Amino acid sequence: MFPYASWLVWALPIFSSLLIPLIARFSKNLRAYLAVAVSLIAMLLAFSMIPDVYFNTLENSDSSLP
Amino acid sequence: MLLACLITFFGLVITVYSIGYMADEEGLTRYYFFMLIFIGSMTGLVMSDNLFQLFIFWEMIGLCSYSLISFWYKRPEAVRSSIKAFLMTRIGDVCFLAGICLLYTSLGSFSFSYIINNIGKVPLSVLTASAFLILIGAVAKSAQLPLHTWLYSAMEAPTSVSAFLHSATMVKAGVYLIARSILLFGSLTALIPMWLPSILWIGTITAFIGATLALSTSDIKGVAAYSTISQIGFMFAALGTTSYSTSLFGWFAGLLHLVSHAFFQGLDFLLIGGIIQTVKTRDMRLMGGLRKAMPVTFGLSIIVMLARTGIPPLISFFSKELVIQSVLSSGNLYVTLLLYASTAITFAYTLRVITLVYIREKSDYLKKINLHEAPRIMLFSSGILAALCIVIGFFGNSISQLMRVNVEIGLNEVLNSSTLIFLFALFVGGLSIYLAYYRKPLLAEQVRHVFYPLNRILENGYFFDAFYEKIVAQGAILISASLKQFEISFLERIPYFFASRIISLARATQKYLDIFADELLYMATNKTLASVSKIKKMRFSSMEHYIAAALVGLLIILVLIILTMLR
Repeated sequence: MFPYASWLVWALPIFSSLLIPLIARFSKNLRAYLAVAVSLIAMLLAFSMIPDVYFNTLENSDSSLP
Repeated sequence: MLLACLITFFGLVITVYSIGYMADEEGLTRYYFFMLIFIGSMTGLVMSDNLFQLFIFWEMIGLCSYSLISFWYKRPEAVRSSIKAFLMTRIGDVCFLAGICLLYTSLGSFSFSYIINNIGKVPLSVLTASAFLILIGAVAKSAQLPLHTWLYSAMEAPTSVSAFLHSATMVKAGVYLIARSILLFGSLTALIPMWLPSILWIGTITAFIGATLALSTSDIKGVAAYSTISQIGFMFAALGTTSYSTSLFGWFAGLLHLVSHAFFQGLDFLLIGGIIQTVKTRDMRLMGGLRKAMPVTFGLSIIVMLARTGIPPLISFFSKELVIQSVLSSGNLYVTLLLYASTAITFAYTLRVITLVYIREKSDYLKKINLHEAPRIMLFSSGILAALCIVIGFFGNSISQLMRVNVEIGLNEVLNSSTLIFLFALFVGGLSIYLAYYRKPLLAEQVRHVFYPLNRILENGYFFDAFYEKIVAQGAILISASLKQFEISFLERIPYFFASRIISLARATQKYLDIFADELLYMATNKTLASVSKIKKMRFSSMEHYIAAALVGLLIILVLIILTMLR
């Protein structure tokens, strides 16, 4: 599993959303591509956790808020 | 974890789809902003390991839903729909919050693992109240009876939003919450005898009512919305049959149907988005003959039809079969019959959509429009979902292994006598549409005429909205008007009443005080004068005595001095 994947998988899209208005000032296309890129990364992070769950090796992957 | 993969995957597919579908729209910064927050919040919700965190994300997805339904905020209907969705889901949210707070007051922790290990310490009354409050929260979020009407109204949102939030992911949050609650309460669910049967009945009745509404509406997005309501009803019904003695069979059936539904319903919405963009209407009565103009969309719609109906070897066949088997194992005949009826109606309304939109002759309205296939990027996203709809059925065992449930999924394991009844139900549903639209086109009109009252009930959505508008909303307005009148006529007069009484009292007091003070002053003056005259009298009469005594004393002293000197 990618380190901190269980955290990043939800935190990355939420915090990246703040960049959308900023990026939109420079390019309309870039705004859409950023959303796609963030979604793609989030998906990869989520799928990176599958092997650990599948083989039951997911230990201490606490994704909760402190 | 599986749901996190599902959500992020759909997030990617819908964001790619949006590039084509939303290309000409204004306000896309707001759109992508809320879409990304939604992806993060929904993933956070399913990754939460405590109830409080889950609630925070639960609220965040509600906020995103509200904002995205009213994306076209210049349309009054969109704004009204978003407020309706927001208010109806708030009812559930308040109940959900109350439920988790009750658990917290008993255990002092929101953590799932802590609650699971210490659930036995919770008093039964608190456990029961908490379980039912959480159920209301799930019912509202997943658009189940009687809080289902917001989902149809939410179709005012862009279709990409409907596909993502109101079909594939957000409405599943309630199903997820129930599934999680079943694990949370563990074997103690047996101590809350009405809880699981309530879930079973809510799901079953919603599945049936949703299916009948989908059959009667002529709005293409409405069919998808009611279909979603109905299919989530199937999931609730399966979860309601969960028993720890049967290795969580119903629980797994419900969640597997959640996964399969996400794929075919998401695909359905994406195709609908392409159709609406081309024909500029949602009314299926104005459509027809699209199979020639939109062949790829037509082909993908056939996959949706097969998947929604539950034709093997698509994943939904296994999930629906498991749902029905779990309901059969519960031994509840009425529930089983209603679900079979819902299955038949599901096939009927899906076939009706295919007939009205693609197969029958092109309408006069469409003859004036330049029809074309949806943009490639939209078809690309739809194609990925369609491929997964077909392929994922072969990975059923992997899904059960991921969920750590001991259920084998394969044609040999699933096929049994219930499959024959299932196929018979599909035959009945298909036959009715075939007769109504192909063999005897007048039959549908005749049936509609004969069953006019029933048709009127269906057209009005079982009068749920009318009930909420006429009874609940008007009742609330009436109560608030009465309270306002009460405030004006009574509450606002209380200060005036007391003020006028205080003024009267003050005046009376002043009056009496004046008289009393005058009298007192007069009396005091008289007394003083009397005392002064007395003192005066006393002073003048005593003075002579004082002087005489002083002179006598002085004389005595002088005599004594003289005598002393003479000695």
